[in-house]
Amino acid sequence: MTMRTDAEVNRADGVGVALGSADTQPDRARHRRQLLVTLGAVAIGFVAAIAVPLSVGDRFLVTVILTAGVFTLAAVGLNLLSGYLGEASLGHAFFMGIGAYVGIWAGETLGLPLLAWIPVVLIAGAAVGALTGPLALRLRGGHLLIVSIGLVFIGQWIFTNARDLTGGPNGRPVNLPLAIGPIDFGDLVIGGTRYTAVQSLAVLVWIVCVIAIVVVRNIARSRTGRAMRAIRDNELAASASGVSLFRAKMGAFIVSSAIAALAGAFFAQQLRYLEPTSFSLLLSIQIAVVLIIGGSGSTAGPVIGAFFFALTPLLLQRLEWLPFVLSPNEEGFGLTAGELSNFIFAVLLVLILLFEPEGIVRLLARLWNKITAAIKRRTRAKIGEN
Amino acid sequence: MSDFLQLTISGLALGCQYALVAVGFTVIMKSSGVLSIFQGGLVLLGAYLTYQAHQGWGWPFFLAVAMAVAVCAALNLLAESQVLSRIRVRSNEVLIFLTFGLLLAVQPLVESMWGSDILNLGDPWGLRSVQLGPVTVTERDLWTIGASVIALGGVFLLFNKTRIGLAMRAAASDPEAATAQGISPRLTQGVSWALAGALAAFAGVLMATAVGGGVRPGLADVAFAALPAIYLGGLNSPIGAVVGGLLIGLTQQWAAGYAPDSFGQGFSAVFPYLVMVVILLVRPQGIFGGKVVSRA
Repeated sequence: MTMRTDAEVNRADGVGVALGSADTQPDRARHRRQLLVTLGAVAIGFVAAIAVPLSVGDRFLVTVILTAGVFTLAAVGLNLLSGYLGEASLGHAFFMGIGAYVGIWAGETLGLPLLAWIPVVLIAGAAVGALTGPLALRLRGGHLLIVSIGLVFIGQWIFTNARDLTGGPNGRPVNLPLAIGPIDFGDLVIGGTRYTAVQSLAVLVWIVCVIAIVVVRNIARSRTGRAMRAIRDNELAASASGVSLFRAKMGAFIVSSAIAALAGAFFAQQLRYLEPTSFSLLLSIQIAVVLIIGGSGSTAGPVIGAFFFALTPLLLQRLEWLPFVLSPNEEGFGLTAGELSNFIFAVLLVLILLFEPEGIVRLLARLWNKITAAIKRRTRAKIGEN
Repeated sequence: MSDFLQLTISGLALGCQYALVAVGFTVIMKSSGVLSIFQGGLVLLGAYLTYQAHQGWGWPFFLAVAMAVAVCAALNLLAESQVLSRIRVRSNEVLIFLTFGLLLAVQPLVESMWGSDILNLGDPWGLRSVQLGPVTVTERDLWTIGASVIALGGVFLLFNKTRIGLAMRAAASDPEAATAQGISPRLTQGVSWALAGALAAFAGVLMATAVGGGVRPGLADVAFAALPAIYLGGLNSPIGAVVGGLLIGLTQQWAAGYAPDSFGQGFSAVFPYLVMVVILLVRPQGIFGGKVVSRA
């Protein structure tokens, strides 16, 4: 990673605040405008989180929206650690597993309602994050990545053997309580219309996603977030400038695992039947791929990556006429839609890392800049004509 | 006592398989500074290509193995020259994810070609057992150990007795000085990657023909168990990789034999990773490694 100047970092984050001149008139106006834009975006986010799942009737599309929500949530957590702090990790399946089983324990065994088991899951995730955090503190340069792989295997061993809670290798059904007072996100009824369980859960997951995105974005733009980016770009320089490596790294690790744990609980509820193998290395890889393809270190990256991840297998199923694509029951040489989408993710991962390490978000931003530049040029030309 | 010896022999056989993969890891690490997870994909391809040639086309077993080893060496060479060399952001994480991407691309292709069932590679090593004093040893364990010793011995002869081996060691210890002496870094890197590919493919064949083996998609995961071996031995040390591989194989088999039931199902499989976490916390540079791991 190369060093970026503060101004570049700010521009990259869309902050656009001039350095060292916080109180001039145009800046204050710009601040206010920025605040309005942010609040507006959050409001739109909440409305979309509720309206989109409820208005989409197609069963498959609703599933895509729910899957994308769960993976967005997990990737938002990973983004704090990998995108902003620059510590790649494949341990997310482990933290998601912790969250899923703690959620089942709190929600089903203890019978806590939604608003009580969510904090329990968050705290459990944070606690396990704090326990494993020292690994992240001690190791750099890809070693955390390798240790986190080990963590996933160790997690699978624990989940397989904690039979009372997890049902052992055979797994167990999941039915978490999802009601806040009269609003039941397991079975949403609004104005006499009853929505499906998937739609209801999708609304809940996306509301949580919007909150998580706002929280992570705020952390990323706070003092701690700047410390994290400084560490990512040059750890030694950051440390020499008085940044506390311990605080920044532990903080990122704890918040990231807490969010992952919550994503794990929703993941379990989506599956409805949970086996310890659900939290294999594959899940970690999928989340990392979602983040990298979408664009790590950006706010929109996880969302874009997650939708891409959830939509691709579905789109491929509709492309059975392509050569080498098998329909589900077809035998013979070729790839099923699932295999083909895994292959596409892998190839895309390689291409993104080689040619656009900042992901699809960056590609879209470039496209947008080109379009606006072209429009500007054209309007300017028109003004010239007149 | 004879139980212990029996477990030790099968542990050595398992350790040899880990050692082959682990030496491949360190050879690449030394020459290019990359921890190539693609090794797992080559283990997988090595086993499946041998299966295809031996069982599918009816080639003699050793010819099939030779073909698989050659193809995997060539593939790894391609991976280095066509993919890894094009990277612009040379951070360890990006490089690891890149090789992960290659592994992930291979897996669905293998599954679509050969399905996900366990395939039988036959019993090229024979099914007989040999009585060695109080211990009954299966012939295939002996073959596995013997073949690994020959392969690893070949690698160390290559390193220590040939010009190209000398060039590789020179390039690893000081790339600039080596280049100034007329050693082509492209050549030494290419040889390293090809060698690692060949070792991975050979290990794949051994794993597929081991007791309870078979040609299966999960072989790529077996290669992950070689990661603890290289951390135990030290990332930069091929000798360390051999020792680490053997230690992991031995302790894993002992754990399988002696761990009480209360340690739970799958304890021996997770044991290498427990070792790895402890090693990385206590001595991140491994037993034989120099100080290369930086801590915060």
